[in-house]
Amino acid sequence: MKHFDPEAFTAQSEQSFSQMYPALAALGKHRPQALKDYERILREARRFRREYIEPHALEVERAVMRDPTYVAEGAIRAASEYGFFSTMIPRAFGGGGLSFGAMIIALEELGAGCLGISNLLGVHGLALATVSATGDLAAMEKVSRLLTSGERAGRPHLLSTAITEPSAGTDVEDADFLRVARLVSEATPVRGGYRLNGRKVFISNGSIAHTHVVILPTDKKKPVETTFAFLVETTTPGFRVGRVERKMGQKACPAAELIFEDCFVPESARLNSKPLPGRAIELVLGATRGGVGAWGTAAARGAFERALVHAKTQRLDGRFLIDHQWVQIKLADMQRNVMLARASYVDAMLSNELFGLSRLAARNGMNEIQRLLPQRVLDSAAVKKVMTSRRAREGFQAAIDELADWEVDTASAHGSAAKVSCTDLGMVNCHLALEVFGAAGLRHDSGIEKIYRDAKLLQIYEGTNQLNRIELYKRGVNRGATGLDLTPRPGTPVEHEVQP
Amino acid sequence: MSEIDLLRESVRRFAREVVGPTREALNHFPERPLPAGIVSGLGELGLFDAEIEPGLVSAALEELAKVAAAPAALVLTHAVARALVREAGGGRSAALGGLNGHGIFACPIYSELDLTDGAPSLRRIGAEIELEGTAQLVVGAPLAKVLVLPVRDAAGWALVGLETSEPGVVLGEPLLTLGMRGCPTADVSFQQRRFPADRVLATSPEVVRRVARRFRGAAVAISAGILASSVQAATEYAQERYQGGGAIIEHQEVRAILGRMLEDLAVCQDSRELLERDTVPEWRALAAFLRAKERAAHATSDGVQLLGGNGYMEDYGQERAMRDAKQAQFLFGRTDVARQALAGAVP
Ligand SMILES: Cc1cc2nc3c(=O)[nH]c(=O)nc-3n(C[C@H](O)[C@H](O)[C@H](O)COP(=O)(O)OP(=O)(O)OC[C@H]3O[C@@H](n4cnc5c(N)ncnc54)[C@H](O)[C@@H]3O)c2cc1C
Repeated sequence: MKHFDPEAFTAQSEQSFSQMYPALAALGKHRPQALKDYERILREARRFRREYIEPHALEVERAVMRDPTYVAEGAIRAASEYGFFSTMIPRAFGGGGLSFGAMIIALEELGAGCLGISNLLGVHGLALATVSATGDLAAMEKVSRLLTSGERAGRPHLLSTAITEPSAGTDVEDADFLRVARLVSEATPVRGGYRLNGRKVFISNGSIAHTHVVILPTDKKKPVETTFAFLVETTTPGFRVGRVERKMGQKACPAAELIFEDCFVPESARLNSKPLPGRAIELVLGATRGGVGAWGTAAARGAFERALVHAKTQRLDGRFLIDHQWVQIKLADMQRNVMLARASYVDAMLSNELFGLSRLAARNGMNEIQRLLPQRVLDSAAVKKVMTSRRAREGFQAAIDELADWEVDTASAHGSAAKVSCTDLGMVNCHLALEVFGAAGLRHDSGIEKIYRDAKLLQIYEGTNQLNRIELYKRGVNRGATGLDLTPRPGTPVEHEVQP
Repeated sequence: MSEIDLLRESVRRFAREVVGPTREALNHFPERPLPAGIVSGLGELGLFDAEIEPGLVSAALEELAKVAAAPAALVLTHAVARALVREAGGGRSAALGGLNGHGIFACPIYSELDLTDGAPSLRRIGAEIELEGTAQLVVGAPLAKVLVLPVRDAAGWALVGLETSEPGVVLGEPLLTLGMRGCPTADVSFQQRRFPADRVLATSPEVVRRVARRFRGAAVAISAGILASSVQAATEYAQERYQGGGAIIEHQEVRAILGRMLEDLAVCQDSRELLERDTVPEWRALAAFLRAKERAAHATSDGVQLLGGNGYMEDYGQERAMRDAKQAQFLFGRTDVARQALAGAVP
């Protein structure tokens, strides 16, 4: 009997890229550059996890427990050294020029170390994705420059995205619900710009971000027709940060209330020419929900990795835990859940590249051109002029408009499916891992109970898992179904057009 | 009013008036000091009395846990540790028993008490014993007068009873735990220190199995209390919260989740009642015990879910319920380990 062979054993945290992502590795034969990018970012993320996250995650958490306004400056500085805040920014704007997919791979790796720190980086990425989806390349350029120059100095210009309102959470995640949402915030058009009033709640990075991407209607009675994204600097008069929440987990990433009181922003602060609901929002969410899927996978994996180490080193009834069959079966289930979850978000990521936001970013060989040109050329005024020109902006909007409905729906359905599946599996693995740990897992210093608390958030934000099932129904199961009430009350006449 | 109803009523009042206002501070232990008045109040209610029956403990704990589970965990731990001392019998047992009323009895109640992996080791040297190693997660230890600890001896298993004041007993810092924050818990270590041999209370794990069986109902009562408060908060929120064109309780999926939570609450309460009866076959008692604790742990996660983002915040109590119920699932050890004892029982 060989119950354990240290030579053959690969620690989960040491798995190679192709062990983790066989589908992408296979596809890499056709896209060698993408594969190189993925492998490189995985290596870097792993190094950051090892060198910074693992040694500091618990200590950061204790600091926030003592003082909820504590900012994980150390993590921000360390991540800056790796350029993680600008990974997705086009090279022409001074960033790493990597794809959204590459970023997602990094988020899983970092999240397996600490979901809170990974979230701090990721929600910043979500904001960038939101800005890029508006097609406002001038704004993208401005934000990118601020960000990258700050990042080089170890003080990145952080972003947040503010959608949720006190009385509208699920309702602002879906165009049908938005119609009946009880909104309290509005950007009233005034001479030269807009006057912002209202409140946003639970905004990740809200208390530490320098620029907020704020989603607001210009007429809150007609939100579907009038909602736009606005860039608001923290220093704008009339803007302030309200309460910083005390959360169950993900403590490294603060969530805060944003308050707007007659906060004036100029016309140029409005990012997009067309209202967001519908296409643009759906493209963003289709992409970012895949990212939350990567976090769900990270939770599943973080729990699994720790349970495996515990099982190898601790005993129960005289035997190592790993020598108990019930533990072996649990570990196998955890491994399986990680594989399933990862496959699900990789599907979402590829679907996004085929049909969604990432396709737009990669259109006309933009990525290839950027890769080939030296940074010196990319930094030149001429390139900047082309990139931020009106033509480029209109071209982007046209590209959004050219996507077929089914394409947007497909990317969106994959995003929602991955979000729900991965985050549920993340929780499942936490329960399994805690069983393997037993009482030892209840201690904060075990690191496992933290994952349980952190992972719960993933089922709630970026649309609750209930809302995401409704989206999957509308975009995947029953495409074309729209309307507030898809389950009409008894007595309401309904007509179904059922195709055999 | 029966004795049980009287106790329920006074515990309910104490929970509402004394424990309720300190919940936030309790929840931030050990980052913040333990609020005053809780432990003494529990004592005044008679919950640390030596003679208190498991049935009464169970009723009291359910009421307490509806407001805050941490004090309930402390009461249960004391009752179990106290019962272990008594059950062991002998002269030392009587001496320690006499300390009841002078402080808490502590024990590692989230561990499989009949197993000693990772527990301190015991060596017999003439009329003395030597203890070496660390007893982890000893519930109540920072407040304790008496420690009741399973240890590893050459023969396998032994139970020792020590006073915290004895030289050689080293108490660690209060630990931060997943749930039950505010029920002070710490590691206790020994560095090759000798104690009189009469500190060994028992050498057969049957003692802890018998005692644990008696307190299963009380453990489940904690899960039931936690879940009851989670269901109530979720129901009230669902009736108030407007989303998707109406109160969220009007959405079928929300109703389905709430319905499932109530099913689980019924399981917990039925299990508690079942476990209070004397004549229940062991396999049914164990099944009820495991099922209730597990269902409460899962249902309280749904309790968070139904409040959306607010559920994740400390202000609404749902996140605390989720953490406490998960920790309560580990009372007397892992579900999957205990479950294996069920197999083979032929109804
Ligand atoms: C830590 C944290 C960080 C966050 N970060 C951000 C951020 O950076 N930016 C941002 O904009 N937002 C953020 N959010 C907000 C998050 O997106 C919302 O909490 C989420 O969308 C749910 O909204 P809600 O909290 O209002 O819950 P509600 O919408 O009130 O939902 C309550 C419950 O009702 C259910 N429900 C609601 N409507 C329906 C329906 N029609 N049918 C069936 N069930 C329904 C929900 O599933 C849920 O179970 C964050 C939240 C948290 C907790």
